[in-house]
Amino acid sequence: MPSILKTSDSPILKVRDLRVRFNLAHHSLEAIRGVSFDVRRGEALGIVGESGSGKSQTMMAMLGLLAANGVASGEVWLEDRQILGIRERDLNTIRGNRMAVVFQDPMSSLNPYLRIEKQMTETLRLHKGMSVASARKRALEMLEAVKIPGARQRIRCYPHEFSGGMRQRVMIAMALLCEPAVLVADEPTTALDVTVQAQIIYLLDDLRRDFNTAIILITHDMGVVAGLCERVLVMYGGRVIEKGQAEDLFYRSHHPYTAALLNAMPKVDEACGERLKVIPGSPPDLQHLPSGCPFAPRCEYVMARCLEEEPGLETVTGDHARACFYDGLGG
Amino acid sequence: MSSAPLLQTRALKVHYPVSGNARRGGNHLLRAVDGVDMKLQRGKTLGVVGESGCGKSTLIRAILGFAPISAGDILVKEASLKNLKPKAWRSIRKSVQVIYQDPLASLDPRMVVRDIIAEPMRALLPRQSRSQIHERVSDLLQQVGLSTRHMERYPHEFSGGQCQRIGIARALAVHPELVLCDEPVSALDVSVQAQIINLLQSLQVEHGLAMLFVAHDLSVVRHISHEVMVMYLGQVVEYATRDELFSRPMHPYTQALMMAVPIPDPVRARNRKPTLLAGEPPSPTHPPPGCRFHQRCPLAQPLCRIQPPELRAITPLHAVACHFAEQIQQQNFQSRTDG
Repeated sequence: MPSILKTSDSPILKVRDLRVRFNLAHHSLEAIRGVSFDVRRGEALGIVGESGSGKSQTMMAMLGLLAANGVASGEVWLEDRQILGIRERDLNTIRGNRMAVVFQDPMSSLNPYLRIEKQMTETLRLHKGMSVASARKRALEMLEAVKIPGARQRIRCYPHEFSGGMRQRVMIAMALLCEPAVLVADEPTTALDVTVQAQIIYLLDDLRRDFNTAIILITHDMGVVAGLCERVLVMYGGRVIEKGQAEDLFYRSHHPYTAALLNAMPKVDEACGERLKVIPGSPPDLQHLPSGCPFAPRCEYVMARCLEEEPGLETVTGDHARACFYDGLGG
Repeated sequence: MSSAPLLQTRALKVHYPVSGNARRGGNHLLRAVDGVDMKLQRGKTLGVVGESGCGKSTLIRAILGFAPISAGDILVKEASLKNLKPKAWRSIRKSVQVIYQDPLASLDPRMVVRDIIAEPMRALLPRQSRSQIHERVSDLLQQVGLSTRHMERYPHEFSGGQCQRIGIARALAVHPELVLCDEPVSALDVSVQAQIINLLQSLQVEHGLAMLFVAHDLSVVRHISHEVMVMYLGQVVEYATRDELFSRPMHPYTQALMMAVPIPDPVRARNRKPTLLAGEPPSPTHPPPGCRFHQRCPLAQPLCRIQPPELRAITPLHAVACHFAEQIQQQNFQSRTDG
């Protein structure tokens, strides 16, 4: 396997002005309001946000997995092919093949009635037209790649016979079977213990190098992002409010929300001050988004303009951009 | 430390019988808590950390009387909770209250906030008039950062952080001396977590509360605790004052746990050379012989496979259950003077 990281410059995934609207009984709700980003080959992009920020719906829309009342618009280009809104039949040739997902809860994403072997080989037989024997060989190799001890025996097991961490490894192995260009991981470690979480993060980092697969990590945990991702998008109220290199966001954030979020986290390796710096209030309810900037009601730098006008995403330097009118941050 | 502790456990064991697969030896015992000694003084916070299955939540359930005491004892203000009559529990409930992890699920969806907060007062305190109760509820709401206008609303009308505030107000309603917190912030958004942590800290000072704070998040525990107890498979592996534990962790498990916590700093995260623990905690129905951590321990010696280490005080402020605690302490010291 090639172990040199090839990050070519042309993006492998391009999302342009993605919008998602859910039609409810009496009205409709805009969950995502114009999200755009690029992912390059072999790169790890983190999408961070709190509940209702739109981070998970962005992924669901990209994969054509929105709920029945959800409508997506915009463009999603995967390897130079527009895939948003295409027929289910065509999507099925892409999902699990060129773009794969690992969900938060591995137990509910695996079929409890089928042995791991059956579930893994099915993907290969379907997408790659492999024979039973060669699919089985490939599945075994992949279980070994995700470091499942005794893969030869374990492949005959049912999902419930694995521990939480091992099950997540199986999910990652399954997702990588067809060597997808993009692996989307939606809170892949949230249900796991910290020591197991660390194992999975290091595994994802290794696999990304080995397979040259781009990873989109969707999470609420800034710590997990710092450990894995080169670039980060921060979402709030259905929009991207800041994006850039991890260093730009963690050390030179130009958005009050990103900065406040980092400040509000207690740190395990730092002696504690007396009080944590809090962000007042709670994340906005998408049904009652404030006019102007969605963060304005909680922002310590709020100005009159913020309450009327929503700031657009503007470049700070290079690919560091933020959506905020206030200029005093990050200096 | 000379005054009698508010809460104390002595060699506490909580074992559950589990009916098992006959091929694997039939029925056996799940040793959820297996010999825990702890003391909590008035007005202090003891943090309890560990991974799933370490027994931290069972400890709380046992103190509340929801889990059986199989051996050992729990003492609240020096009175044993063993074989307590249902009536006697009422006076315990007045001094010991609890805050749960899932803020919405721990509130009755069909009661309005006023009744949720007033319920323990009606059940446990001497009879009060409606206006007295109204006054107390509105006072409590203000203390937790909500307002009187929230009184007639139902739990579903609130956000997660607000529900947790209601749960805190309910716990404070009967003037408890001890509040047991079972992962009180782990279900909340990061921006809201800090609010609840600060609220708990100021309420503690205001009311002189003692808190048993159970969490899997070491950063949160470091922030809020005076003393910290690290549990692994039903046993205490390290028990120390907060600063001692975090600046000089001695048990290999505590060290690994700290290395595994993600730090929100990309350069330091990349440069960190972690000693990753292999595998996952073994099952509490079949704990390994000897030291329960030896299968995952990077420093394990033959002795560890045979003899279970006892929790012993290495310094007056620091107890560790590891045969090699002194050597680790020495290394800690050396690496600091070298660096």
